[in-house]
Amino acid sequence: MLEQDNELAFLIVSGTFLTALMGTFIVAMVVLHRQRQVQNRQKIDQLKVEYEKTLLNIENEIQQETLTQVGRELHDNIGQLLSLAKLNLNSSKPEKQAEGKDYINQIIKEVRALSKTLNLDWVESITMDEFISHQLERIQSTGFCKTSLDSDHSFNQLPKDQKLILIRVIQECLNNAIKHAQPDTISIRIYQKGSKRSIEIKDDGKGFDSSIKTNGSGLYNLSKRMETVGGKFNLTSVVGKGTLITLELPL
Amino acid sequence: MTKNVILSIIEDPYILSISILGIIGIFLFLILAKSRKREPENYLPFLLLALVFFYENLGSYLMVNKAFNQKIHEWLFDVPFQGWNVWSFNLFYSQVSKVLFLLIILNHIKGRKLKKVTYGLLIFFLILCIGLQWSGVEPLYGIQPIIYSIGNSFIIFACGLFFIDLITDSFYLELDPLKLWFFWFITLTLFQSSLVFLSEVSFEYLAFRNKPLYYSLVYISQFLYVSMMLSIVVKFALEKFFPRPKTALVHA
Repeated sequence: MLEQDNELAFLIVSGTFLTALMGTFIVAMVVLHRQRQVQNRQKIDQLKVEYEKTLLNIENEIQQETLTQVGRELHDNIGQLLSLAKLNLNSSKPEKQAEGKDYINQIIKEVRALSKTLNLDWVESITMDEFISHQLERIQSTGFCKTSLDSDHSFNQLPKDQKLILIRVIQECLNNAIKHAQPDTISIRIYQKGSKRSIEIKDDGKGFDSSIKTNGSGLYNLSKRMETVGGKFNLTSVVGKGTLITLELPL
Repeated sequence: MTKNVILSIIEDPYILSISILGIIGIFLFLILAKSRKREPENYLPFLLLALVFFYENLGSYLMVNKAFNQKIHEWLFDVPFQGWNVWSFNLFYSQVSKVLFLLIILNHIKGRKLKKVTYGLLIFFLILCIGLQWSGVEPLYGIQPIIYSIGNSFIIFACGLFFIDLITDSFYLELDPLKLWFFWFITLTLFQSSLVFLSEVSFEYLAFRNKPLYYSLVYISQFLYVSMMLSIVVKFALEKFFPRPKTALVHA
């Protein structure tokens, strides 16, 4: 009888102790979880703000660049065409007047094409392959260096925001190659491997020692921008052997 | 014979609770939609519940029907029969059920590294069980302290990994843990395994010096085990009568 009473007392004491322990554990877990939840939400909010800021900066940069290009086009191309049209239309010869009308038609086409670049709607209609191809053609047409593009089209389905950021990063990489590397060839390869897709931008220019940290924020910004879309920015460069930049995005 | 078996089940509140919960749980699982049955979220707890129901009743039956017990023993082993059914406890409780516990925990860990570690624990435990039995260090018909304690420690460790995942993985940080059935299940598993581990470690001391405490630990661990099975039954009942969208259900 005494042993049974003893057993019951032990059962009650140890049961109460375990219940209290379990209760404390659950409360502690929930409190810890809530704290982490709040921290996580703050982090996500911060990332969102950063993302929106990056996007806004990129839109501004692209618009700024577009305006510079429009100004150049108006001065170098449309301005010239208008002068030619004016000259021809002022002539009394019918063939010159016809030529002047042709110029006017050409000007209308050029102005239409130019007006399309003024807003960012073109970003939605163009694929990454098309954009990169245009950029490379533009570089090659200036006679600066040879270019090549090899793509498996794995970047052709991208949301507008991601596309904008990638466009800007690629533009910046190409500008850097033109400005600093003096390459004979710039080649871009687009491919998918496993759960990742990558864009490789390779030049055979001067290269630099990538282990030396620079004061400039260019490469840091590019890396940060890729991070905002969940991607990665890798750079390897050897003096005299060129530079290889890899932009990675998860599928 | 049947009457004796039924009596032995009814007389033991633990086996009676497991039997009732087993029948209800198996029934509820069987009437779930096919797509739900195929989810590891559902079939793993079902396998555990069915296994516990099976081996607890088998154990009771073997204790009553000694002739059948002896037949199985002689069929399985070359050693003389001593009237025990410890092989059933070793095989189903110490080994298969521990593997199922690890699989259930593994299924709810989202972090890649933590998942790998849990997977490693599972593989190591399986190799250890096979190795120790194959080599004759801990035969299936004898007491298996190494397998038993390692099984429990791995479960405690895996539970710890789950709780780390719960407070670090962004997936779980979006959810309320109190609404997740496996949070309760794994908490109960953690406490039950810790209790069993403690009582096994201190078995010799408690069994001879403080029997009441030893029995209270056994009763509490049985109560926790029944609570775990109850949580599985409640989960199936909620799945059946208050189904949630598939995506929410798979993750939450």
